[in-house]
Amino acid sequence: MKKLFSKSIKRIIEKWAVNEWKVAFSCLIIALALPIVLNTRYLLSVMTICCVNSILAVSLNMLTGYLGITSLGHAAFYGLGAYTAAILGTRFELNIIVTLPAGMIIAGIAAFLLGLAAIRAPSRHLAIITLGFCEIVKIVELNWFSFTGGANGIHSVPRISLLGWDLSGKYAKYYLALFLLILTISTISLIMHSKIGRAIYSIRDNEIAAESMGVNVFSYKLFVFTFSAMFAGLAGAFYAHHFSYVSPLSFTFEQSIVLLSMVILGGIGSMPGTIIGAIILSLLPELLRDFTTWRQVIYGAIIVILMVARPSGMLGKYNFKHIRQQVKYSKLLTKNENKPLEKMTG
Amino acid sequence: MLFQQLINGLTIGTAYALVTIGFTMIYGVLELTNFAHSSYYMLGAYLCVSFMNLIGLDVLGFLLGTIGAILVCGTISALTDKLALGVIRKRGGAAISALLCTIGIQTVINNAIILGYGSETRQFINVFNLGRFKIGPATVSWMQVIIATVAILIMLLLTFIIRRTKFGAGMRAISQNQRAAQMMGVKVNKIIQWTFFISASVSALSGVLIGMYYRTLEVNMATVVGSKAFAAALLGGIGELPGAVIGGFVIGVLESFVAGYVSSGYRDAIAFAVLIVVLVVRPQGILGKKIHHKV
Amino acid sequence: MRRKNYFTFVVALVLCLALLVGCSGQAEKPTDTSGSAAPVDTDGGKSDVTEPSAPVDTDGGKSADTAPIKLGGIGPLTGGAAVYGIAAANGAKIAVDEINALGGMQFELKFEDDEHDAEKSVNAYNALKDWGMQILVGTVTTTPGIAVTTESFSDRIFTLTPSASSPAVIEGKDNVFQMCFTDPNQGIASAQYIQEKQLGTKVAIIYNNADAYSTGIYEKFASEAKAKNLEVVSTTTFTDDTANDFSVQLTEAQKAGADLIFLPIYYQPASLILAQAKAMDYKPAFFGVDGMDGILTMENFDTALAEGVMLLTPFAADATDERTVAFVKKYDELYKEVPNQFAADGYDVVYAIYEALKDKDVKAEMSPSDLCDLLIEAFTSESFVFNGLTGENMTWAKSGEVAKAPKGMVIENGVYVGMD
Repeated sequence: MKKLFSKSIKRIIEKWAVNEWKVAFSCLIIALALPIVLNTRYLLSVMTICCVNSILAVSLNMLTGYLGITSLGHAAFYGLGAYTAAILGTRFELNIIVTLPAGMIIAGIAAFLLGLAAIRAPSRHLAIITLGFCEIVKIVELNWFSFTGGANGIHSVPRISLLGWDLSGKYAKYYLALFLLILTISTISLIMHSKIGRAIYSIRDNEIAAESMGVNVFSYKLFVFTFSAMFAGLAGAFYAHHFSYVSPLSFTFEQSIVLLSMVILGGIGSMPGTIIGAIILSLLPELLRDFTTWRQVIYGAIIVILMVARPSGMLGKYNFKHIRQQVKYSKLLTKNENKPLEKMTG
Repeated sequence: MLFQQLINGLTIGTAYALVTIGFTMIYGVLELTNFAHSSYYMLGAYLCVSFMNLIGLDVLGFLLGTIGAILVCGTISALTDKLALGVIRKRGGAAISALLCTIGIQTVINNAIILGYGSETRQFINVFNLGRFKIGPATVSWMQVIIATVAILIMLLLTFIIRRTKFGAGMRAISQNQRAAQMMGVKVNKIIQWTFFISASVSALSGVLIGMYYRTLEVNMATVVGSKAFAAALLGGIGELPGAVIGGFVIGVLESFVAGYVSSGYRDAIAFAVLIVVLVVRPQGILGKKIHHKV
Repeated sequence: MRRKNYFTFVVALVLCLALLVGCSGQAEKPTDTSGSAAPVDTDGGKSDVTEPSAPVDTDGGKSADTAPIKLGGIGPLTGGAAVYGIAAANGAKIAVDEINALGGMQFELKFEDDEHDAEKSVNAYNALKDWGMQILVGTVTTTPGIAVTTESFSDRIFTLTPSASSPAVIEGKDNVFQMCFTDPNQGIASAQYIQEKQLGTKVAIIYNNADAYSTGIYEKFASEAKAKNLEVVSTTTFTDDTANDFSVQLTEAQKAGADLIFLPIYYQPASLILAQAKAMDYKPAFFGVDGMDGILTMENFDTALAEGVMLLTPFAADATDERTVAFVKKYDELYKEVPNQFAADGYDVVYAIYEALKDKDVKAEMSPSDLCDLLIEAFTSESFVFNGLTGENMTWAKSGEVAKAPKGMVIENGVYVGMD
């Protein structure tokens, strides 16, 4: 029974790997079509949150999964983006056309400066350095009263509108979030499929070897760190307009941990896995609503069980490119019945 | 003022130091950031109070309650390793998967405490009324002295275990190379489970002591200690128990000085900023040795 | 392969943009109507409300009268702030049960968890809205409250919050009302009280700067103290993360020579401050706000520590009036705890809604926005006076702010005694 189960999973994964683009495309179609069925405001708002969290998880995955740096402070950049958008939106009444890029830039600058100072530190130190940075940002948000409103946060951030259209309806917000998600996914996958991407992978696999091959480890690390923070800033800026309220309590170290959990749960270094992880961890608290006081306990228990059942995350173990090659070879083999080659495919 | 703030800082630091000792043990052996660690700190304190309510609100009740809390927390911790973390290790999961698993365990324990005990802040009855004494202008309570002594004793004891016993040799072997240690006949899983047991016990004991010092138990008490313990462990140098204690004290004193002389609002911010600078300048921590990586 | 990738991306982006643009057209219409004088609930919410009550109608008029009005509650039931949310939920539940037992108008209460998080709170709100909530009891805490009331304002759902006390919660929202004092009022009242009664000359303040409630009171207190020439010699802060050690803050207050410490904070950290000040042999006067209530009923708390503590509070669990005694007894029976002010606030909120609706022609199938208009009119009408656990003769301003007299209390021999 168990064997059958794992075999069928293997087959599904193989199918998925071979038809990766078709699957991605149909997922997109489904995501676009979902609001037809799930059209209440609650569901759409949850789905919008799924998109925002996916952007965050995908950007964190670039840092943690592709480069191998564990960040416990991703929420800091998320918060910086949100605060930038909120401050620009409330004080200068700027449109999202300005605030979204501004959120990205501010988060990027902060990450660049932090990275410039600290990215050379060993990976495990970076975990605590980013954690510390997250706390520092939160504390500044709390204490810089005249600018950030302290614990009160900033409310009535202007609703989303674009070139005169009001985009603050439930459908529009969802599609905008989805659009931003696709933008993030496509930008990051384009980078990872390029020369830069291969350099990044080489740093993850062996930093010293990569360095000796002429990869400038420092600047690549700094680039990924900044880039990943920029997308967190983008998510934050959208969040500020989406909820029209930001407060320091939304961007704490705990939030960073949740984001990291999404990446790990889905499978480190796997783009679809990360998105699945983000969706699961965004939906889980909602699905557990009926358990009221028990829900956090169950939530924790589910995480433990999932990790024990699949220690590498949902899709962590599968390298789609590798599986595709395997499938190709086995097809070749069955065609030619070339026995000696079998060892290569195993 | 200066001296009093120093004493205040040392008291806060003792709490961090005690939690850090257990934390750094696991980090040293498995290189695992155990987020559940601070939960045992809270659980231990709550359990001790429950046991005391059962046995009696006196010194005997306190001692038995403490032992009970230590045993329960240690057992839970060892069980989580046997049932969850060990399985992940065996199945070849990355260290970071174990990290997420500990986050799950932490969520379960922290919220189970809220479920079981309610989220009201509870008072911890101080069974020793030991009083205070004065050193110069500063007031010091005997409880502070006891806690600091216990912290140092535990550190010495565990350092002895790690450096001088067979069990400790096993731990050190695992921390260097798990597979090689296994091949040399080290009972890897057993030693790791005992490490989890010891680390959670120390954490529970510190929860009891700190809870008694502040005479209060609250459901937030685990959250902050966790990140501070992580910081203290790295500051002191990974796997170095004396480093853990020093790291804890340094952070505690730093915090209280910042709060006293700069701004209480920015105390954690400045503490973390200093930590970042130290880690960038001296990555191996205060007591750690520099490790050269090879390809 | 590569070319195909680009192609897919471009198609995807274009599709998404197209939908976005298409959607903006759709979204424009509903928002236009909701902006007009008679707001219409164009979202799924309204049909959800009317649908379940439709079959009830066919049963005949009688059952329509007893169909419940759906109250939604939001507050933290899990996490660090759970103590406030659970208390308010319990208080509200008791009130609903009492009212339902009376016969006549019926309520149905559903309380959702928000973990004291703005994002979760809005989710909880949307979940309640889909459930068919007609009136919102919430939120319990301020930060989520600011986010949720923005939604409930645009949806025209009447909102009465038990304890979200920041003015930002009600600001510019005509359908949002508070059961508690606003923070600035408490700050001003406290400063005036201290100055008038000459309770202290050098004041130190310790407040929680991660908490909107505490910060809100502190700010107004500080500015009012300045205006009243009250000397503030030391201002220190803490956060929920650092809420167990106050030796640093107390040392600073002592050094500055403060003879009164103002504590605009909740009772849990306050109890620690009292104990630690005693341990330092530092004996200033302490002055608290309504969050201080609850300190005497803390389990195992040494009430001698609180001797002489002054506070402004609308509710005291050991008050001897009939209503409070009955409530405390019932609460203790059901939940084995002494209720704090949040429980009393939750209880009062439900009763205030009940009082406001009692004499009106209310039907369960009324839309939230109709109920909202009705309730706004009732709450702001001059004849509406509410007597509850948390105050006598409460009235509400159009802004949503409650007017009730804060009671100055001092703790003597472990009980509250009126200061006047």
